[in-house]
Amino acid sequence: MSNGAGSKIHAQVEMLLPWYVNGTLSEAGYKRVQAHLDICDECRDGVLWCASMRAAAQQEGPVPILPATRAAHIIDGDRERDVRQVQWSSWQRWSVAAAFGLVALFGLYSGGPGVVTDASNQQFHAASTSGRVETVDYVLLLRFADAVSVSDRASIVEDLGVGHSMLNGDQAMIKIIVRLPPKSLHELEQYAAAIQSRHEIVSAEIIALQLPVR
Amino acid sequence: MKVHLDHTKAKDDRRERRLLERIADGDREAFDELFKEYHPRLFRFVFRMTASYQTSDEIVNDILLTVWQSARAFRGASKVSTWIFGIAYRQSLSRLRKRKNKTVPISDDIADAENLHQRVEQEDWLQRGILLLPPKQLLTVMLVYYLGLTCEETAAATGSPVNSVKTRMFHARRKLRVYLSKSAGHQSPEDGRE
Repeated sequence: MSNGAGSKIHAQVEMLLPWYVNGTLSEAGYKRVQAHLDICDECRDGVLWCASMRAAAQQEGPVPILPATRAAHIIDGDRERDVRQVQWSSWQRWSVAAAFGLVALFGLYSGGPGVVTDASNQQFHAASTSGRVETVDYVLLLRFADAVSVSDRASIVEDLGVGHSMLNGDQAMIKIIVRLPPKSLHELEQYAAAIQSRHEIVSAEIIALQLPVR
Repeated sequence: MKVHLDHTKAKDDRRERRLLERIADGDREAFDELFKEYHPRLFRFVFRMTASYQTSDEIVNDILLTVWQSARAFRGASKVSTWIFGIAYRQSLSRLRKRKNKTVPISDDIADAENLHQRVEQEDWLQRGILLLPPKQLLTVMLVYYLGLTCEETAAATGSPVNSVKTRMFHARRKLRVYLSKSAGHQSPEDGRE
């Protein structure tokens, strides 16, 4: 790029490389960059850097699934937020964990409806997102086809594999806890889609998660 | 193929414009629809930078509340998605700057930059490096590489001239090269020039 015109083109193309890599350049822009890349080692190297940056920016490790926030919470003022900002001490965390466990067990054994009635109840994830976590309890909301009997629903949940515990089981819509290794959002979506592909299930949605309390 | 994609995008934008008009009139159902579409994308976008579930939840709620309250202010000069990501940019920038001022790095579980160097693992050094960029550069990099915005869309979302966006991306790349060379324990002659 020794001559003036050449270095001007080089400077312009160099600035366009991020969009060349993310595929959003216009056709004319793309051709212009492509033509310059044929003769410029520095810009070819720049393309590799941009591609690496793009891959890194898109790389998602296991991330928590979405909070069970609802649109109405935002419009009406989400008061839960104040609760979530409380810094809990260790004994408080254990107390809440124990309480949650009792509620879950009660739901499991009583089979009664409405033990867990609101997705926001499942927001027990606030304790910690740091540290290495071996398994995470994901709360899955299943909606069955009307024709599926209560006993069939129970056996379908059993079919989903080990590590499931039912929170409430005699409604068309049930919530279960699924214990899985930490998964990315994409993996969770695939997991839910696989369950939803069963003809007995109208919808499968992962609504919350609970990280182990430390 | 590109024509088809552009057509789909334009159709999405028309639909979202209609939703935003209804939101401006206080239609809660329209907001619920927009919420379902944008909440996951915004949460992923913000979480990717903060690595904090609680902070991301707060920021995303603030973004969507702003959408609800300011829908009437949308003049249609850009796509709806660009306008929403512009709000996301400003909200995230303000939060990331506050954290920078407190000399708390971007990720909750990272104590300081020196500490970070020790914690950087081979497989994610580039990812970590991106998180150490100054807030404006970090957000611009994420808008371009994570959300795939065009140069013009990025300029509109960040409220900056197109040339500033290009320069910001260029400096981010340069900074990352220097950072990564240092992380690797050596500095190339090229880095010295930069």
